[in-house]
Amino acid sequence: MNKTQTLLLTFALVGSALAQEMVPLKTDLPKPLFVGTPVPVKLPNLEPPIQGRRPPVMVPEGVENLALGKEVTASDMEPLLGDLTLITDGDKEGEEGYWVELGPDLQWVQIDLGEEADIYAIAVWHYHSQARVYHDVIVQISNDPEFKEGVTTVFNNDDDNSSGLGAGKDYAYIETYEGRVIDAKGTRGRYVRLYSKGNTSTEMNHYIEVEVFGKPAA
Amino acid sequence: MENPRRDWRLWLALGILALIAFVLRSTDLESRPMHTDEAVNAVILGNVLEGQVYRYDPEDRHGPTLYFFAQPWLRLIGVDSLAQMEAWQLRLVPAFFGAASILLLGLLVDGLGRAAVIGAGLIWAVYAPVVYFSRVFIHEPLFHFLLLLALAAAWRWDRDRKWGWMVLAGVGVGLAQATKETAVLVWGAGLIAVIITASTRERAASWLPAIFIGIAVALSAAVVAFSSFGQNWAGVLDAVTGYVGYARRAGGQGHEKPWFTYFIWLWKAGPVALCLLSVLLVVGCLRAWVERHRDGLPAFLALSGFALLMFYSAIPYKTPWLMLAPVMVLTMVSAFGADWLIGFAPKVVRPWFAVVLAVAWVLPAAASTKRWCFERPIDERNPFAYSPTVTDVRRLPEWIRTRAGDDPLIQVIGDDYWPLPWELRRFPRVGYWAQPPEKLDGDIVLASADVVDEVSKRLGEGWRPGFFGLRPGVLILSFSREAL
Repeated sequence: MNKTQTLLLTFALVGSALAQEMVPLKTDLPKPLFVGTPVPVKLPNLEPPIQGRRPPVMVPEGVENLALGKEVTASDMEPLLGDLTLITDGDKEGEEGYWVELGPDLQWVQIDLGEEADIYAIAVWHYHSQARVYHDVIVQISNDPEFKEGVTTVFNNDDDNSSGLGAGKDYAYIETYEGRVIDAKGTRGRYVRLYSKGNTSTEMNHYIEVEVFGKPAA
Repeated sequence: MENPRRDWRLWLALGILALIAFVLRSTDLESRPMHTDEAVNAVILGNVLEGQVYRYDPEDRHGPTLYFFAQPWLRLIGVDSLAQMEAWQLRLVPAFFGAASILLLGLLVDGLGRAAVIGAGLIWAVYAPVVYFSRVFIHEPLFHFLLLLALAAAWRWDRDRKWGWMVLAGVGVGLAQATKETAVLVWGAGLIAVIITASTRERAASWLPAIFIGIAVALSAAVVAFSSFGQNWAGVLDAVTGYVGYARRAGGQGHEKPWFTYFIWLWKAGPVALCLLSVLLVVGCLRAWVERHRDGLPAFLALSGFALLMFYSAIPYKTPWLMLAPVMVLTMVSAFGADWLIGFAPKVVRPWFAVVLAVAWVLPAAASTKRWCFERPIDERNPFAYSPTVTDVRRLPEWIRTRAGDDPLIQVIGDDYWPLPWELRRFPRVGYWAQPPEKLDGDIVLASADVVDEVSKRLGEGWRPGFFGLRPGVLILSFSREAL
């Protein structure tokens, strides 16, 4: 075969390939395996499946829990179970009787520290007798009890802004007996408000305890 | 007694009760997410609708009849694949058989009496455990319908001696066997009751030829079903050899519970209704003993019901829907007892006494049905909600579309991902792996807790983790690309 013939053959093959209609490649994916009735899970105080290293929250010496025994208000002033005083009573047990249950969808609880304070850390225990994750956990500090002005958000894992308070970059986390300690970076304010929007097990919102570590503002 | 087929008042009453039962079973069927067992049944049914031959597999599956009975209904409403299915369409199947069971009670009227039959229909129509599981796409309601069909047809043969009834009884027995493997417990309990009651009656001998015909028909029906109408003969052999696996699973496999568990579940569901039913059951048993010289149906029901309860209680493997068979048999005896109790009242006040008794039971029973079947169907305090799927999982399809569009490649990895095949049924490109595959190139990766560390490490940076609940305490981790 001479060079001219080779060239013509190559063009013909390329032309033929280009003329074919291109379709997406379809591959067979593995089918689900059938299973029996799942066994109910009863695992108290599960460790989180992701063992990520969480750096310790650094606070000045002498900070104390300013929330202990303080007044708590909420979006749902008639909780389905328990009462709001449980949130600041110092008990962090996981059993029923130690937590308060608020209704479904976005709900908040708010702690009045009684006076302005420099807040360095906020620790929250939603529920820890079962592995579950609370959705749209948002924590804010303000001097305005209505949270309309001067609001600082110190934690927000509502990554798609489904709660309408702005999209957050923090990650969701599995509840454990250790609670979640949030770095408040010395934000000054009198009121602390915590939001959540149901969880991975039920549509309800729960709180066992909230601690606010800081010092009264000078 | 009047021919039951001509007692129009009886059939009217049963018809009204069946209608009430159907309304309770078919209302708000989408409110609860699909249980894992329902999702498995839906996927199997989807395969059958899409043209696959159903191959009976005794490992973690039940018989084929549910899919055979559901298939024509779904075709009728234009559903030909898993992707087209809705939960309510599937749940209407058990709702229908649950309500239809009440009508079959009419065939037993000359053995139990009209009031007892209507009483049993009332109990089945509104009692929480019976209602709850007639709203779930599992085998039980169909199983109980077929068992009752077999019982009623056998009873009619005993009364009328028409061979058609015995053939129908055989079909009921065969299809019940091809619905749930636990049918053998029912046959065992029934045999015990027949042996005991037959000793007091002479007509047992006259049953023998008919029994052979009934067994032949039952075997034929079971073979037809297990072989998928002759397309999978291995299924027939598996139906027999499968009992080795069932015996092993009866040991519990994580579902083992103490012998009194069924009582605890019923107590939690509604103590007042249970107490009243128990008292009436004692009265019913007493009446069956006193009147044992009569037809023997109440004695047969009482003996077989208690034997069945004993079998189920003795087996360590327990789930709440298993208690339904003894509950349904024994509540017939309770209704028989109520009828007797009413008979002691002076004739003038008898109808009023019957109404008072019915209302005294219906009010607390209906309250617990409302609570557990409609208000809190997946609440952790609900004794019937066994490993329920949580509503959180329903967010998943929309979450996937928001992050990766309508046609993403979804990789589901791990050993605990059900009922995701149901929730993800409308996505065309979903694959399932027990272990992380060589290529993790999905747009969305979903991993169960057992593989999440490895999946997380291999995905590396650029993926945002999230959580979805499958069941209480069981999570699936979702990974979507940060850029999206």
